[in-house]
Amino acid sequence: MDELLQIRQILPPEYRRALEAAGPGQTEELRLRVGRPPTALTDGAERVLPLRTGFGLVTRQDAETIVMNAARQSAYAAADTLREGYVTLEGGHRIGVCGTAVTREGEICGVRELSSICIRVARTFYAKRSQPLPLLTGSTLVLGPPGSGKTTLLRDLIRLLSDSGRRVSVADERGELAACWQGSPQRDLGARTDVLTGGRKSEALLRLLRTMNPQWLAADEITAPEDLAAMEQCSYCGVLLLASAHAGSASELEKRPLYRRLLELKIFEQTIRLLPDRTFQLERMA
Amino acid sequence: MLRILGLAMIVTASSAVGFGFAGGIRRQWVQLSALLGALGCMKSEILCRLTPIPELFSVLADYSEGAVGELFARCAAACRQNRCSPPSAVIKDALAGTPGLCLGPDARRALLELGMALGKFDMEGQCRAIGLAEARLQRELELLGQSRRARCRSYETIGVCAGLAIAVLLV
Repeated sequence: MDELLQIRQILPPEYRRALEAAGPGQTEELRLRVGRPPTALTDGAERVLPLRTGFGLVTRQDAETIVMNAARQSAYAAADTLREGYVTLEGGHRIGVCGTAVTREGEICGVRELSSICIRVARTFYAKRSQPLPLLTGSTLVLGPPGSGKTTLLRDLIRLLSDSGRRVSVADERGELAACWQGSPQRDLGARTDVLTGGRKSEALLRLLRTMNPQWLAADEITAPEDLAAMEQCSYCGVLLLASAHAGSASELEKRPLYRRLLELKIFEQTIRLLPDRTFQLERMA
Repeated sequence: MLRILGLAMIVTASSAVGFGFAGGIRRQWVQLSALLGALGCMKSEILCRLTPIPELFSVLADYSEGAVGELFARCAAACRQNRCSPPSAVIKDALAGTPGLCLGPDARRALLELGMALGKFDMEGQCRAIGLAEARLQRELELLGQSRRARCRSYETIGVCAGLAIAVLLV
């Protein structure tokens, strides 16, 4: 499957050519900074994409065109996520945007004068073949630094649970896990998985608990106290949880107040820690 | 006998031209009404469901009948074909290429200007742009409505009378 297909479709022709000219390799990100040459994070290293003479630097218009193309020319439809600084593309690719924040009553309500965009390629997990995915039996937290593959591992764990007969409900706030397109998940999350795309995780988790009778509830990236509160509530209802968090290890979790609280609650029984060599380690939580 | 047949054909042809013009005005009225309905639907879709532009055009194509439905179907197809096409270009091409569309220049301009605003702003901005287009089409419809009957009758009468006059002259 061509994982860059949807990304190529939103790029102006010159960038499309440059991406193709960059040759094979595991492209993880495309970075376009206004006034700078475009770069691609390929096989762990950021390289300049070769644009033809006369197209050397990224312009603001290029960045705005790409974001509008990603939003399918419908800024209002992507307003909620743009307020949070990103747009999700079909296939689960995420486009992060930077620029001048537009504020209303002290809150960011949008971004104008785009200065840089980062296109993160959603990819299938490429763990070493010698390391099969574990079939989880207790609530699990996937840990790893940004870009380590937490979302892709989470997706594979959900699929494994679902295909082994468990009913899994997924709160897919950013649309990265299932990459639903007109109601159909584009990423395989298994035969017994129900997905609620968009909306706040905290609300979505409780709604899924009430309406879908899940055995497992899954969500990507615990980032807010409300997420934690919702998970705590769900954990008292006989549901097992699967989630991810930005942290290199369980000891790193203790350094952040939000995650310290998570450890105190003892919601999760085990962690799966992603290692720099793309393998992972299953650990019981203390 | 041949002469009578010829005269009858002249009267029929001339009347057909007159009725054709009158039919054009009726079609314009029907299409403007359909467009106004479609804009109402567009506003609801954006307000209630945040429907993105390509699906919005598909919904409007199903919602509207005849040439207006065809107009939106063409817009939807163009969006499907190339997601990078802005709504302004899509609407412009569809207006130029839809057969049987008989909108006046003001109505076309209102649609083109709506296309320039579609998708670019937040929901509030979208609703304002649609409201503006609605107001312009409503005005156009009212103007057409005021003169529609009289104009249709005039075209039909002129058609028939012109045919009769030519027939009399030929006799």
